[in-house]
Amino acid sequence: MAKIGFDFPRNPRKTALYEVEDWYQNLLAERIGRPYESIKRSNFGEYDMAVNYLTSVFEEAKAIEKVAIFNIDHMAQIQFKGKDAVTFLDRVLPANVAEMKIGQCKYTLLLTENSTVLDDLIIMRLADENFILVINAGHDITDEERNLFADADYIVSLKKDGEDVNVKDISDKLVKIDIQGPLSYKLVTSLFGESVVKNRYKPEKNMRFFTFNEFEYEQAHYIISRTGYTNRWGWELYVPVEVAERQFKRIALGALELGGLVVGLGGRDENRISAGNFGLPLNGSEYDKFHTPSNAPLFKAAVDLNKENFIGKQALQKEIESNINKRMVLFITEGIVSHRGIYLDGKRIGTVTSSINSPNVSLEKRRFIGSKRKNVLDENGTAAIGLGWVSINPFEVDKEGKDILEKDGKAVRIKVEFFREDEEKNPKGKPVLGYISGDGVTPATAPKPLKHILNL
Amino acid sequence: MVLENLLYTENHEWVKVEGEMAYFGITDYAQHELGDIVYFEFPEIGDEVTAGETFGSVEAVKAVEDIFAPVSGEVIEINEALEDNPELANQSPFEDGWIIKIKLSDKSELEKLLDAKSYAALIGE
Repeated sequence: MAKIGFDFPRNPRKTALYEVEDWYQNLLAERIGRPYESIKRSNFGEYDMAVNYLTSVFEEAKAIEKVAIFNIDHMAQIQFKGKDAVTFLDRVLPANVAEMKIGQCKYTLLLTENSTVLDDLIIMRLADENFILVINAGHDITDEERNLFADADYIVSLKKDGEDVNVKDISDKLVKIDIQGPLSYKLVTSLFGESVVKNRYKPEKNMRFFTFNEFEYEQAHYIISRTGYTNRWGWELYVPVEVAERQFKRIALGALELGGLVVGLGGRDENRISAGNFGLPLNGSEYDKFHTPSNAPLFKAAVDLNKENFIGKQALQKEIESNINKRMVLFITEGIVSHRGIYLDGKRIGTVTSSINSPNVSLEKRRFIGSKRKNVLDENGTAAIGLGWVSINPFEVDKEGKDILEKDGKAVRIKVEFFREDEEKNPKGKPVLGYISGDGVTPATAPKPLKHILNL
Repeated sequence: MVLENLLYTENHEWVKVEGEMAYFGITDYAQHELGDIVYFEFPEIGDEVTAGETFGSVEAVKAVEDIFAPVSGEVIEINEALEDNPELANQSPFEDGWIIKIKLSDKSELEKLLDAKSYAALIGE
């Protein structure tokens, strides 16, 4: 059977917005009065992606307080059609696909039989027998020599003989542009009209979190979902490739008018770690073939353990029943702690998987670190934020076994130290100070009613 | 940007020699690669630094990198302005953004460093 995944590209690929990003860079140079320079880029999923534009990573990470625009054309969309699409996807994915309404999306995972994570993804139901899976960049490549197996090929390999499901990579037709932050409603409705964000079943109401609409604009067909990987109010827009450059220009101009920015990889990394109380895991950092998803943020949203079966269920159930202490935790630190060990009262409890400096940590949260560093204590200072896996739960648990994240109306914060380590995992050098946080970096607004942002 | 009157390392540090003294810093290329610099870790005045060994670190938005001594000597002064305004190393890497001043202990080590032309070639300028 012919593979669906692409061959490994000789050079990193270019998104459909690659050229128009340079138009944006020139526009920025003019608008903010800085000399033009070429965009700083990095390979991500075998795509040549902007790390940041003429604005710095800090400036771009801060844009989420107004409106942030992301070029997400490197992510892939896989379509599943056919009368057995529901039963097939339900047998593979840990989400309950059968109970999804048309117009609903769900965050879920692609697991191995051992319940480790191959990818995390969004599934959208367009019709009874028509689904789109939105998967991570680079997960569309099948290359035996490099041991790469595209999600689509992995899923198809699980298909039974005679099952009626047609699987197709439709990424070259769609360009994904995310519009996130409190002014996203104003931007989306000013560009495409208010009807595009109404509830498809109750048009007098606004669409709900984790639903999507399809709409026509100037004879082109769009999908817009109320989702995004920032845990703030926002939208993900799927634009037909033919009009993508023109629409990106309108969106970018509109964002600049509202005090927002187009945000590269660096700012987006900050935005997903500073998302809500727990941050959001990234495939390749927190998730990989060695980690299972239990006790990670979004686990309950992604996995329905009441389902009869899905790939990885047995292993996952076994792990959960053995009452593991393993957890993904969010921490705020005085500096970058990438790859360091996490130590509680001198005892090693885990490892850092992500760490980035952030301009979005409040002074109160930065002061709590107990650092002497000036940048941490300045009014408009910074601190690093990160995620990691711990094997010992640092939180106390209640009678039901749930972590106690708040006591006497105050968030629980647990001071820890972060050490570099030698090959035997012995700590070395001076520690970086920080704390594991029960209240995260910024509050999650994504699921809150749109009424809070309608009149901004 | 590469300045003519400085010497360089392959790790993107620069050295400016003034008689028996030398200033160390990181190059314009390095600050550009790092992005927003938020923090410097300095040695103490009086510490001995050794050519090729780390004497401090620079922390930017996404990474913390060791800084290596281009040549050996005793730390005479640290740039306290960087404690309050580390972004000076972004804005003026070859001047206001100097990191430490040392008293050279072996001037022959300077011969092993790159001149401006070789360093420019290294970074493809």
